[in-house]
Amino acid sequence: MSGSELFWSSGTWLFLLGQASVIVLAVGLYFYLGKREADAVRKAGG
Amino acid sequence: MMSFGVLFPFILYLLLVLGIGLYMARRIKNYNDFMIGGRKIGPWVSSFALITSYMSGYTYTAAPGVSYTGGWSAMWWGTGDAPGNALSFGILGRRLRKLSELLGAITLPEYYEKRFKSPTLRLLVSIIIFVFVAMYLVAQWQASGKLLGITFGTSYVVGAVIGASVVLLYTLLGGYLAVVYTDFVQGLIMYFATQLLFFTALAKVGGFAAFNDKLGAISPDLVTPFGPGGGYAGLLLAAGPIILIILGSFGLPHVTVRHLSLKNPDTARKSMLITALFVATFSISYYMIGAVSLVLLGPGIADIETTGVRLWFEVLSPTMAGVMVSAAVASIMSTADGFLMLLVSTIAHDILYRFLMPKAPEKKRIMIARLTAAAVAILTFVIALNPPALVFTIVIFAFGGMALAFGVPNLFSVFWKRSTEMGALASIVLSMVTYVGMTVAKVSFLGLNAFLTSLVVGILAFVLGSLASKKPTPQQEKLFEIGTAYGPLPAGSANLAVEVEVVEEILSRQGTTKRIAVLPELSPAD
Repeated sequence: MSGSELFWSSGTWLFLLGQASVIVLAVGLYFYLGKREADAVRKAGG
Repeated sequence: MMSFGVLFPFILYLLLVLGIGLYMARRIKNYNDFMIGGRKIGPWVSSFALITSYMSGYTYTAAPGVSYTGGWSAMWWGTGDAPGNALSFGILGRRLRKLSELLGAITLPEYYEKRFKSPTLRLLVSIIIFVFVAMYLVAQWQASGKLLGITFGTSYVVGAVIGASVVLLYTLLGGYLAVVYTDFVQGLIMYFATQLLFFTALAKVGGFAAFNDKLGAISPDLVTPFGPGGGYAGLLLAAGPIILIILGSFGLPHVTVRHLSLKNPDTARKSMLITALFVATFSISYYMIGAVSLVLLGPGIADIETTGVRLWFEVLSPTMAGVMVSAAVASIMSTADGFLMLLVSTIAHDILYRFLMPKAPEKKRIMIARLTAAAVAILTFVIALNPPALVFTIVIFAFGGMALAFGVPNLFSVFWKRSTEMGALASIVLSMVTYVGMTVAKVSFLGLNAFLTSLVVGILAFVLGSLASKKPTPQQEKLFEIGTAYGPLPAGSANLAVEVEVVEEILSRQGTTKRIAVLPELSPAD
């Protein structure tokens, strides 16, 4: 088995997926926290 | 190795950071500007200041060495960087920023004192920071001496002098503002130079698939996540480094202090996004450069910490190699300046002004802070010239020790209203004692290594210590609620714990039905 095939079959690619997931998580959290912040400002009459 | 092509970008880089220091000196208007940048640091600068403070000389020496010997398994260490750095902003940043302003705290030891009403805690936290960070700073001067020696052939002393004097000069001039703005520029240099090196080297190998093929031809283990000899086989073995690295971002004081200087609490959210984008792509490159080096330069390099450096001169032009030298020195300086500033604030603000000379006027405080910076830099530099064995012993424990000592209490202090002084003290002391004891004795507990066992001890100690001690006062609980709620602080509530009368007014404006006997005991002693 070549190194390239081993990279995909052994699950090493999950390292790359992990890093991509962090970006997705951060984007989600960014909008979630933004909404909570905006709601609080609106509630306070800002 | 030395040529003008390599030297020129490096000299430009040094002039640039000195210029920033000089410019920032003109923006220092008061003591808070010098110590914490006046709490007006925007999302980009905050983000890069945190990233670069976190990433030390390790980035260009030890990290490539890990993948040179371990291939892709090195990413068990790199995987925690992005979630740790980003979530430190996202989870801890907003609350820590808001609570610290509410409490009128500009340093972490001061935050601990005011959050838990405990001068003892402030002193303990200050001492831990002083011991670990001073030794860490010694290690940064050493790294500067070694790195410049490898790249320019200068003596160890000359390399260390260059690193220490430049950092001291711009920190002395511009204080915290100079530290974070130079960190921003240094972070950009580090990121783009490293990406250029990584992708140039990868192209030279023949692309991503060819890289894996050639790495697998050296040893198939290098292309699997488990590493040579299955060193990372097993959930705890694999998860251990990730948890350690993530907790580091929540605990290391030179990292978390960046939250206190954010422009406003909501800045943390923006910094989180910027940090995630940059670190997720950066950590793959700076770790895997060692594996690319293995493919291009072959096995057999005795000093694995030079595998990344050797690659600069193999695949880049002299001028671009000079930029890489600047990037590597930037990684050292941007960490060293964070350590230096942290030591200045700890010694000057948390010990001298708090306990010894509380009535010192503001102008005198800035002068004393500058003198402290000079004294700390010179003393640590002298130690770095011929460091005793104790320095290395302390540095070994520094990352894990501070991650444990402050990571757990930081998180509980902003998420658990029931947190108390006893819980924080128990957690800090017991987790550190367990960590150092188990590491020295080389023992494990129920299959957990020293760090994971100490983490469990720290969490249990915090919870049990808090529950076993007296409940926080209604005033403390109210401050916690205001400080952790979403939205901006109520107008005029900055330094709430200091301004007793203002609190009364704000609480009544908010329509608090139950009047609270407010705060004389929360009023800080200084």
